[in-house]
Amino acid sequence: MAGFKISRRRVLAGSAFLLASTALPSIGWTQAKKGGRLVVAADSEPRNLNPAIVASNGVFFVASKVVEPLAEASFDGEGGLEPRLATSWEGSEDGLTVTFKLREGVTWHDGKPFTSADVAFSALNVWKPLQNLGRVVFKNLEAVETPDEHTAVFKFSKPTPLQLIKNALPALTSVVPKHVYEGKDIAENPANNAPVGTGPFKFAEHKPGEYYRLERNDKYWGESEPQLDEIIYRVLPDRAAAAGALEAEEIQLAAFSAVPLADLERISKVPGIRVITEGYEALTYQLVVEINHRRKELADLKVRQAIAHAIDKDFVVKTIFLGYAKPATGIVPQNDKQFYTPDVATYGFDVAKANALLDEAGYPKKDDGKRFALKLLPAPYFNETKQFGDYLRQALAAVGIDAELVNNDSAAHQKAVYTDHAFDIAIAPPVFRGDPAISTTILVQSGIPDGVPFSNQGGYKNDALDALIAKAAETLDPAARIELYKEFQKKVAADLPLINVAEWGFITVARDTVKNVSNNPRWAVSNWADTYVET
Amino acid sequence: MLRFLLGRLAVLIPTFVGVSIIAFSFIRLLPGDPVALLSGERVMSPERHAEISAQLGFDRPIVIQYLDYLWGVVRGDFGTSIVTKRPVVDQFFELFPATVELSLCAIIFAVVLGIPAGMIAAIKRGSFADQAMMGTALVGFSMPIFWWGLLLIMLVSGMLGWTPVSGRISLMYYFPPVTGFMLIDSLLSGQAGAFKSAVSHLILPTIVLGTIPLAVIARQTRSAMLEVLSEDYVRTARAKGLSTFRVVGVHALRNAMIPVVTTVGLQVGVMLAGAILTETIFSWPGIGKWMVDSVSRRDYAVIQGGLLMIAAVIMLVNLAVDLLYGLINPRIRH
Repeated sequence: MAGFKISRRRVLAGSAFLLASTALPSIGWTQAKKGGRLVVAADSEPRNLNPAIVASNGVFFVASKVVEPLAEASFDGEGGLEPRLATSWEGSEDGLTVTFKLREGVTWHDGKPFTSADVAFSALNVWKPLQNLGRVVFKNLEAVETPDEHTAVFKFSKPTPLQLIKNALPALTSVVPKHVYEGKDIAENPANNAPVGTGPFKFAEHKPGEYYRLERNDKYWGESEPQLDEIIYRVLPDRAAAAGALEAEEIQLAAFSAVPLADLERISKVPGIRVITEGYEALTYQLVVEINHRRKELADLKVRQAIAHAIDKDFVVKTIFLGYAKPATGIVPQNDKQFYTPDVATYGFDVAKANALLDEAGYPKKDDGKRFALKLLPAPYFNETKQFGDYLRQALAAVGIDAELVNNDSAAHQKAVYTDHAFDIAIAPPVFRGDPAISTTILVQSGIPDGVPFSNQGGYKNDALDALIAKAAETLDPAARIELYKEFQKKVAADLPLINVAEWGFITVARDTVKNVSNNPRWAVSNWADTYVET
Repeated sequence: MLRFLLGRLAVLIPTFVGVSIIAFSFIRLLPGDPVALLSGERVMSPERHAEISAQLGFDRPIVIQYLDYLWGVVRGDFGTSIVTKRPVVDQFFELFPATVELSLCAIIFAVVLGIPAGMIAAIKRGSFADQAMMGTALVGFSMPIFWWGLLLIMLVSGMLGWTPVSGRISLMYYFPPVTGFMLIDSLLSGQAGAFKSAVSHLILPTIVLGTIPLAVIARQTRSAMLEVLSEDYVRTARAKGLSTFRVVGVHALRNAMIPVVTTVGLQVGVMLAGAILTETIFSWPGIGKWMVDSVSRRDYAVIQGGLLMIAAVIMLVNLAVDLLYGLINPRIRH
């Protein structure tokens, strides 16, 4: 550890020197702004930091700086993508082959060269069998051929749309080193907690309850990147304290709405701090009412329509999300440029209509004004999902449905809803990840094994919808595929297997000195190679 | 004295077994499957689930699991975390010094301010000072910890910029832990400014965690003091012509301290509970946050091991308090 102390001081001294050198007026703006340390808030400590296995935003937030995907989302790149470990990708006419050209001259943080063998290993041994999102996208991946060190050819047993593969690149293709994982139990590998990657930052240490520290990768392939010397994720489990830490300049940035919505108005007026709503365009969260179709009443479309009419989405957006959200129209969010269609059945807020529908369905109000009782389980992951639970209970009471709120912690909620199906309605925050086939169709598709969170565990089965999902999954022509997903949105809105209420991105709060923030649609979970701190 | 000590120790054994049963069974009553949680969203096959359950010993009858656990505890083995795969004892002793440091500072803060405040209030009974101090104590006692913590952060750190908001020391300093107590380690490190940084990080959490014990101790001291001051021997002492300082500080205080020492002992338990909230607000890396995280991960070994060790600490503190009585009041020894 003594050696560490010295090197850390040297880094600090060196960074101070470099920062001082950039301050010289004679050096133009083209000069690289190397150096600096960024301290950001982290509200949780994921138990597994391997983004190839756990493709979720909590993991990416830290790990995306260390482990890179084949391509990252981009506001202005071709097809909305910017190359990372792959430099180009091409699909065959029959949809059975996708060829990736890989970046040359890339090394792993342990010094070994990055090659196509790493991509083949990651795809076949991690993404397909182990990753939470790999279920659909890599279902038919049979083999990955490696004709040379910088070419990986993905072979599928069934036609797989290149459009889907491209949309999946940012979130699903984090490449891990074969030489670290091969021949051992992948799930138990210590590198899952101290990741080895090719990214602009190397994993340095994790002090539980205190911080994660990433340090600059001097051998990064990106020219004059990264700009920062160090990123510290300070563990701040209390969200209100995160706002205080920003004001006290102990941290310089809080992403993923680590500062509570209610504090934003106040903190936006603090000099030197800005509130940023961009940078989450490809990470849209959806507020969804999950329905257990095993309940006789809820299996009736009229009852589901009545519930949809009973919810005042504008009120939810204004009161619960304080305006930092949008009312949803359907299962694909409006900010998706490829697939979204507004041309679906909508259910305006109309208590009278909801009451009429419930009467029609054969559930008249009894003497006590109630029609039937339901068990309502709001997901505990966000304040907003819990608050919406309280709202929904009142909204349902207004139409004579007596909802009993059951609040659980995340472990109990996951078991109750997704494994035991012990709910009537539940509230979930699934994520739309740029393509309906990645994590959206499974919300309504039948035949998903018990226990899979954020999937159809409500016993809903619609053969026409299942057939449509299956067809879209194999349709290669992008335009035809988009049409099928528009049809999918219409069918979901018409039959209401679930009810989409609102959709939201998160908020970043940063000191003005932090530059190049929110410059891509997945910024908080991208690599931050060009981010720097001005001094 | 030895018999007194042995008697007290004998009572600890059934208490400890009772706590172990509660710790072991309560966490298993919570819904949620630790093995399923390990697999995350990609749900493991029933075979793999059974295999891991067997590895962790969850497939055996619950009584056997408990006896096995108890046998381990007797030999000093509190189990291994199913998430981090590290022995619970190791993790506990890594994090516990942070909690102890904070709790000790808070209790010193509470005692040093609380006892004199209570004494003054008792001597000047009914005065403005008495009313003001007892009113403040009532407010302090009624204040929810999380709210008080956030209020202080906003005022002292946010607006005035006097103290840091989170952690035990500025990230500028790094030295390997020697004792685990940041105040001592920062001095040992010899790094300029490290000790000052450690102290400044302690101020707010100490005040927040110490507020409720401070209020309780001040009120308890006041009422104990009032009772003692009305005793005959105090009047006799006064009649003898002793100074007020001697009457109050020597004769009355020693007798008034018995209920106060009890209160301080009991506050240690309250403090460990309060530490969980305080640690969360100030991102203090102690056992509180570790326990909370482990509950949400259903890390059975950590929860039951952690609870048992916290219970052991509270029992030992109470034992120490009992022994302290003996020193203050020799009659109790018999």
